[in-house]
Amino acid sequence: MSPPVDKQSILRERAHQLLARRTDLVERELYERVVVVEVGRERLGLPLSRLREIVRATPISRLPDLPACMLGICAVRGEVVSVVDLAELQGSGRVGSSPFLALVASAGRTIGLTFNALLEMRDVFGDELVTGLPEAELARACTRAVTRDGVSLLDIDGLLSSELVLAGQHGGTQWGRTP
Amino acid sequence: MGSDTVNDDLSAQLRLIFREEAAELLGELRRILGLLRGADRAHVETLVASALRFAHNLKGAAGNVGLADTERTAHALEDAFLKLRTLDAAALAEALPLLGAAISAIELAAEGQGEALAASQETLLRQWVGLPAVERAKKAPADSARTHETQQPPPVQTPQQTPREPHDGAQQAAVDPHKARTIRIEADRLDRLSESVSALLVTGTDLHRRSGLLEKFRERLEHHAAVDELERNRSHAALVRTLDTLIEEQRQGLGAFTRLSQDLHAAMKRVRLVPLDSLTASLQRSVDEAARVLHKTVDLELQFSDVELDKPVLDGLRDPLMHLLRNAVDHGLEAVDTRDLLGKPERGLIRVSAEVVGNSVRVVVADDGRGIDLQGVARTAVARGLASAAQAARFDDESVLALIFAEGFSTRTETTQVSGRGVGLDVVKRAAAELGGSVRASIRGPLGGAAFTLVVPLSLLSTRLLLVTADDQVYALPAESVERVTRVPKLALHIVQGMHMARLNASESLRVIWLSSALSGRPARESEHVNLVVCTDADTRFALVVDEVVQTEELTVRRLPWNFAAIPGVTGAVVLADGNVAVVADAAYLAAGRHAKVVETEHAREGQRRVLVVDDSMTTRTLHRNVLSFAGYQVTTAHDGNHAWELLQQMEFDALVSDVQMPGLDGFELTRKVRATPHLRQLKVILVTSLDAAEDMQRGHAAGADEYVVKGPLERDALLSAVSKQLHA
Repeated sequence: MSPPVDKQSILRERAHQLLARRTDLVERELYERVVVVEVGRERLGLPLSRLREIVRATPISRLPDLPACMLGICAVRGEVVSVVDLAELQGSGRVGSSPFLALVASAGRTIGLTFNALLEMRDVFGDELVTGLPEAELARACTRAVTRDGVSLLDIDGLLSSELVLAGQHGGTQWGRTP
Repeated sequence: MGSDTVNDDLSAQLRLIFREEAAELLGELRRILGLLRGADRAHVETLVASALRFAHNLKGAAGNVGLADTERTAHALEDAFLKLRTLDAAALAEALPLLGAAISAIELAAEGQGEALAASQETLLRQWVGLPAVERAKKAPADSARTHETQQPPPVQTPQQTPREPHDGAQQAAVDPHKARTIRIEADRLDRLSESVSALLVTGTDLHRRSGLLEKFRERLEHHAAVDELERNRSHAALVRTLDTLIEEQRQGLGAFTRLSQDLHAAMKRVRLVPLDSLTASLQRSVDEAARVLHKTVDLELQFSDVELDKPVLDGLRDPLMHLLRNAVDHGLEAVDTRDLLGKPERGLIRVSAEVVGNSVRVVVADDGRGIDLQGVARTAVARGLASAAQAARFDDESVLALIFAEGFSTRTETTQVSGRGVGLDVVKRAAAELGGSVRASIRGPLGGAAFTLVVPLSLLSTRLLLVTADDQVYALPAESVERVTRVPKLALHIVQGMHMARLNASESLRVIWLSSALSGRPARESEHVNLVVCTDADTRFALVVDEVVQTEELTVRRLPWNFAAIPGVTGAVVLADGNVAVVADAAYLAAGRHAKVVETEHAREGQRRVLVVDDSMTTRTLHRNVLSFAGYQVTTAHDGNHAWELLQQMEFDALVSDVQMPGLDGFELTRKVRATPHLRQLKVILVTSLDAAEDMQRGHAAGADEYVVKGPLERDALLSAVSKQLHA
């Protein structure tokens, strides 16, 4: 016969554990507060500091000669914004129509990012990040870091100053074009 | 203050204009300084290129209003931005305050606070860049001379540390923040605007009255429901008559409201119109200054008639016009002795003419100089890496002319104070595009030399557009470009010398362009009848094939978002009543037929070859995709070997272009799998890799690859050549 279980002492022990974890939380370094979205089979973190709003996607008008990751333009409350296909940007290929659009902004520039589902808002701490990833590869995918559970944290400042989102005469992947 | 030959009134007006322009340019420069801190190498290049354009514009504008020291400081600022390109991140960060201080100094000068600080900052910048000091009429402040002793960027001097020059009358005018934001309006235009507003207020009151009548009518209806059947029958006819009257009054009220809204809109547009000849002083000064520096004598002829433009359009036109004039003096007109040898008058002639065409204004800048040397342009483009020698050899005149608007293009090898470092015509093109307009160059214009034609809308408020659909998307065509709309049987289309033509009647055939393929690159749907929109642009007429003609609407054309500059074939976008966006098509681009390489029908597309590009690097994948797409191939991409293998099971391809070093399934293994699969044996495999050792190439061929392309500077041509060789052998 097993000895009687002292529930009170078990709960007390558990409370101590939780309290200890709480203390850990306080001491951990917050890396970024993000909104996690689903894009194809990927999970991406959009920094809350750069997120203007999330809206239901409206029809996107195509334009000629756009970079691969640019879908076109749409209107959000009368403002014309360009729309980036996050799946294509991450190299996962296009995943069909996406129901949501996240408007992100940096240095007065706004862009729309399409995604499939809004998963959660969470705090990402420094000790959650995968270390040792090649910086060049991260920069190429406009990603600041990747968490150990596989969320890629987007570098919005990098994206908005990247040639990947430029179209027309002022840049972009133009070297295949004949003037 | 630099030497100034214009009278005080004009000088004050010019400085008001400069103040407004400088605020914008300096704001941009400040924004760039902020972004430069911590920017990576590639980003620094992009930011410096933008900064050079703004500094160049600033320099030109300062020169035009006679702020000589400020002009020189802006020039030194250009040099300083150029130097930033050579610095590492730490040195760059250290140098930013110096540039910031120069910007502050120019801000003060623009606000009429004197140029002393600008002059001293110029000295500091030149010292830092390593250029010799410039002798000026006025002695530089003593504290700036002191900093010559150091090679490091000197400490930043805040505006408050330097005593300001006393104001003169003109400067005081420039300080007034309100004056720079005002617009002169003729009294009768304001009267008409007031009348429209008054009439609108009366109509509003009347609509309220009718609303009251409708409420009373509802009370009568409630009463009507409560009475007995006999009484109800008797009053029914009266109720219907009253309702008819109310409906008719409401209809009239709405009609009046619509008319008045349109009147008000038209009056508002007229209020914002400013005569083009208000630019006369700026343009004349720009030419005089350029001619003085280059030791040329130039007559400027302005033929503006009574053309009036929306104030923002006029403001946006100022810089491009000045650029074109400076370019005409510098690059277009020959030196005096050359003109003498050629039997031309000593004084060069530049003519700026303007005319209103529909809802646009067409401005032509023509000179009697040497014209445009197309061969020289092509050579320069090749030398500057803007095109390969093979491409240049295939260019027609139009393509070569398009090169002079490319970023960084200049046939000059040295920097000049007038035209700078090749910054210029790309700025003109961008400025025109930002106004929803376009610019075109002609080798020989009306005066025998080059001519540049700017077409911009008269107003940014709204314009009349024909809405059409093509490929399930709404497009807007400027109404002034549309001659008529017609529908013809498909049999009326035929091909003449490789071009689709439509027979409109017994004596008229027009070139046909499918809007969907021209602007979306997708083949058009085929049907028994086609809707044609007959368009005109200058001397060109053509017929656009659209799926459906929707309606004509008065809409405000918006600029494309910040990251879309000068998209070929598109001048802007409009937001429709349902919240969707319509793309505004550029009739001039369509008329020029630049899109001709695009496949126009499903039938034609059958001949297109399909290529699967696989590379785990997004950049390489995108570049290869663009290269092949623009060469006419239908391209699908995969992000690694396994993804490519999945796609090969689902879709048919003619060629596989694969990287070698990829996670999971690498290029060699992918090739071996392809070769081992019966239904893929005909697939051409081209490996593109940085592995350039002989044994690697042997491994590729042993795996079954048809071609092996080594990544490098010639990668694009080699890739195209390899794919073409395999698919068109």
